[in-house]
Amino acid sequence: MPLGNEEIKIAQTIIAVALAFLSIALVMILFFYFSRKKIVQKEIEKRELEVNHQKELLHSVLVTQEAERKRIAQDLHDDISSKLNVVALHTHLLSTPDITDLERTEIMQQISDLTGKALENSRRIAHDLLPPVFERFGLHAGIEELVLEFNTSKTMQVTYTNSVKFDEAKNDKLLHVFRILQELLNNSLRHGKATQVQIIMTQQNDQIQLQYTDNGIGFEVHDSSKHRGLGLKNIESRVGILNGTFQVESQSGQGVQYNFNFSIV
Amino acid sequence: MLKVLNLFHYFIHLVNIVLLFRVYRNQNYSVKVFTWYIFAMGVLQLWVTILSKMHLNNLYLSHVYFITQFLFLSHYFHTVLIDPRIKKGIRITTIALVSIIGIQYVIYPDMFWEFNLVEIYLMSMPIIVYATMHLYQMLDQPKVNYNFTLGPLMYLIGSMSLFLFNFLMNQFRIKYPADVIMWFNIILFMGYHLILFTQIIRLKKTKVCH
Repeated sequence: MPLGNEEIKIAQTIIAVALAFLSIALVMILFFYFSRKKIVQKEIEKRELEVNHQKELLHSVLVTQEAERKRIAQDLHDDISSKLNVVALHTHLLSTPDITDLERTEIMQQISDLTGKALENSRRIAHDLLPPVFERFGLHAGIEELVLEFNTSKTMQVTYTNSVKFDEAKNDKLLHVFRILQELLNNSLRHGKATQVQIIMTQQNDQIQLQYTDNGIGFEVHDSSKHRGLGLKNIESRVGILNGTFQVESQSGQGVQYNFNFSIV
Repeated sequence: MLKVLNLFHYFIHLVNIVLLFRVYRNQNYSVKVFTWYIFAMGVLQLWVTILSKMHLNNLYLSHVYFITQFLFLSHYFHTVLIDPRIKKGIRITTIALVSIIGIQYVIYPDMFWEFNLVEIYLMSMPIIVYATMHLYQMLDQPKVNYNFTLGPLMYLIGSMSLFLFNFLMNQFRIKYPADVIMWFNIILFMGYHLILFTQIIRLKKTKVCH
C-alpha cells in the first residue's frame, strides 16, 4: 500500500532527526577516538623523555666512575707504585756482594722512608675514597671532618650547623648526602671561587632539609650549558636515589644556593 | 516559578554582558569576538521578548538568532583554532552554509515565517564540530578560555536536541505541556550562562596578554 503525503513527511522527519543525532554521536565518537590517540601519544613521548633522562643520568654515572677509576689509578701509580719500584730497586741493591755497611744503612733508611710514604699515601687514597670517620661515627662526624679539612686550607671558610640526628643504620643512604656535600664544596672552591660557605641541616617530621649557600661567582641557572655539568648530574642522580628534590638559586656574581629535601627512611 | 527562572536567566545574561564589557579593553581578540556574540544574543533576546509582549509574530527572529550565533561563533573558533586547514575549512563552511540558507529563503520566502529545521541543524552542527576540535586542540595546548568552548558545545547540543524533539512531537501531533520545553530551554540557557560566568570571573582575575 503506497504511503500518503503525511506519512512520507513524518518518515522524512524521523530520518532527518535520527541523522542529526547520529552526526552528533559521530562527532563525539571521533573526538573520543582521536583524544585517546593523542593522550597515548603524549604519554609515550613523556615516557621516552623519562627514559632518555635516565639514560643521561646513567651515562654521567658511568663517566664519573671511569674518571674516578682513572684518578685512583693515577694516584696508585704516582704515589705508591713509583715508590714501591724504588723500594724494589733498593732491595735489589741490598743483595749486591760488594756493598759497604754505610751504604746498606743508607739504603735501609731510604727503604724505610719510602715504605712510610707509600703507607701514608695509601691511607690518604683510602681516606679520599671513603673517610673512616664517616664509616665509624656517621654522617655528622664525616661532614665535620670534611668541613675541618676545607677550613684548614684557609682558602674557604665553611660553617656547618646541624640539628638532625642521623640513624647510622642508614649509612648507605647517608653516604649520598656526604658525596653531594663533597661535590658542592669542591665546586664552590674550584669553579665558584667562593670564600664563604654555609651548610645548614634541619628536620621537619621525617623530611630532612639541607641548605647549602656560598658567596662565589655563581652562574645563570637558566643557562643549561653551565649548570648541567657532570657534577650536577651526579647530584641529581644521588638526590633521585634518596627520593628527594632539590632547587638551585643562583645569578652571576651572587653566589649559589641549593635547597635539598629528602627523607632517610 | 517559571517566571522567576525566566527573569533570572535574563539577569545572568545581563550580568555576563556587563562583566565582559568591564574587562573588554584588556582582552585579546577572541574574547572581544565572544563579548560581541553575547551582546548580540542579548539584544536578540530583548527583541524577541518585546515582540512577544506586544503579541506580535517573533518566529522569524529564530532565523536571525541562529544565523547570527553561527557567524559570531564561527568567527570566534576561527580565531582560537590554530591549524590553518581548519581555519580555511571554517571560512569555506561559513560562506557555503550562509549561502545555502540565503538561497533557500530567496527561493521559498514563505519559509522565513516558520521554523526551519534544516537551518537549525546547519547553523548548530558546525559549531559543535568546531568546539569539539577546540577541545581536542586544548589536550596538548594551554587551556585558554576553556569554558567559552565547553559552554556553546553543551548549549548547542542541548538546544538542537530540544528543537528536533519539539519538531518531531509536532509532526506526530503529540500533545504535551508547552511548559516542559520552556523549562528545559531556560535551565539549559542558565547552565550555559553559568559556565560562561565562571570563565568571565577568571578573565577578571587574570588580564590576558595580547
